[in-house]
Amino acid sequence: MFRLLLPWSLAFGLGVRRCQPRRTWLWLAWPVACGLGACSGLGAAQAQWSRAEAALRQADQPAVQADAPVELGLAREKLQRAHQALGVQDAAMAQRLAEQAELDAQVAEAHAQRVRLRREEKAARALTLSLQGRASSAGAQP
Amino acid sequence: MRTLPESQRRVPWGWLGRLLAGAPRAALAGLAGLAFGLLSACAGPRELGAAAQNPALLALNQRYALAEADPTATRQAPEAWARAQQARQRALDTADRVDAGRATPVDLNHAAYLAAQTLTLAREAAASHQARAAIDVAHAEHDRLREQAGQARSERLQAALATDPTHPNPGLNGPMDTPAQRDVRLATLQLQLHGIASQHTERGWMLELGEGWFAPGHSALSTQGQQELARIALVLNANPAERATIEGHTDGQGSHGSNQALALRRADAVRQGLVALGVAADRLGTRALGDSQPAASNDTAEGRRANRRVEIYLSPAADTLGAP
Repeated sequence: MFRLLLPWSLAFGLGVRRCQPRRTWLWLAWPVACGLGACSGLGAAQAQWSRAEAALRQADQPAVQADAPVELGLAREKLQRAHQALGVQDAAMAQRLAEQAELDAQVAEAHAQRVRLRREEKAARALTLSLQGRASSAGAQP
Repeated sequence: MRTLPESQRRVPWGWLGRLLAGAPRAALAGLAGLAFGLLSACAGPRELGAAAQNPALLALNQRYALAEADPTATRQAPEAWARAQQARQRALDTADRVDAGRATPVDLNHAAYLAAQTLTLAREAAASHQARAAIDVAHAEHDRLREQAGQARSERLQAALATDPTHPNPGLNGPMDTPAQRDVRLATLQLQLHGIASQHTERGWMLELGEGWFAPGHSALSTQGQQELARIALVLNANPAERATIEGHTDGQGSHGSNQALALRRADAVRQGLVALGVAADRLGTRALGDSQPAASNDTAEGRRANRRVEIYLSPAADTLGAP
């Protein structure tokens, strides 16, 4: 086994006489570890992108489109940029953009809900006034 | 590497001394640096680093200060607020790491953005909670007012009947001049219309009809609507001095123009139904109000169902037909 690894140790500038099997393993382990790390970073970014995509799909409803178009547009744009970053293997950028897109989608949904509830509240107040008006006019009847 | 002689390297501290004596000078310096770092971290609040001046972080701190000053934001949505505080702490930790050279300003901007959006979520949740509570209060108030109105109606009815118990229906179809006579007429109408939602308004008796009468976008009467219409026709036929103004309404779906047209079709459908049941056509007027006067919110299916309605105002023939 050690003989098989000898050419590698030569390639890394280690003399055959000074070469130790343990150190050679370390030299070999570095690129493998880096490769694995890069893969896991990209995998995590991909998973985050999927989460953001699901959040955006959930938020992308007609009511949200009507009441929170800016927030929804921001989420869409970031998700697209995250996809592009994944395409060029930029895991860190993809991760960041996908995290932001997920939160933007949630904000869009929350904003639209708040706007809808405010509208309902306004209508309820108007109905209260109307009923109060009817009650007072009915009370004024002889 | 230059090393000290054996005699100078000997330190009389047992195993720690032997360890230190055997370590190279660079390792010792590293250990000393680490110890200094730990001590300085425990010593008390540190001076703010350059990262604390990051514009995103400064803006974030301002927003959190504003949120903290507003108790509704923190009380109405405690879970969302806790998440926001955690996100802010992560941003502050990232700022520390930037100062220590273990993170980049890009990381800090990202953490600050996430914290800001998490705070926005908390504020939206608090505002929604507040609006929901206000809606609940309003609904309770509606129930109370409706109940009060019903009670007042029945009290008026009893009072009107009590004024002339020997003539509960004195010349209902004849001329009515005095307020007492008018009350009796109205009371009689109410008795006849028992079971149909109605109330007295300045424009006469208003029959609130239509919840469930019309399908969305349609003007054809439902079976329930036809049955109630037959009862209204009986009342109108029994009181030929009464005229009716039929007002069509729609929910908020669709354009204003199409809703006006639909409201008119609904009013016409009711008018034609009454005419078919023997009510003289010249006693019936129609108006289309479209979605301009909703009775309930158009944001809920229940509210839209209530808004798809027709209101019939009954008034003596002498009154102006269709006067608002």
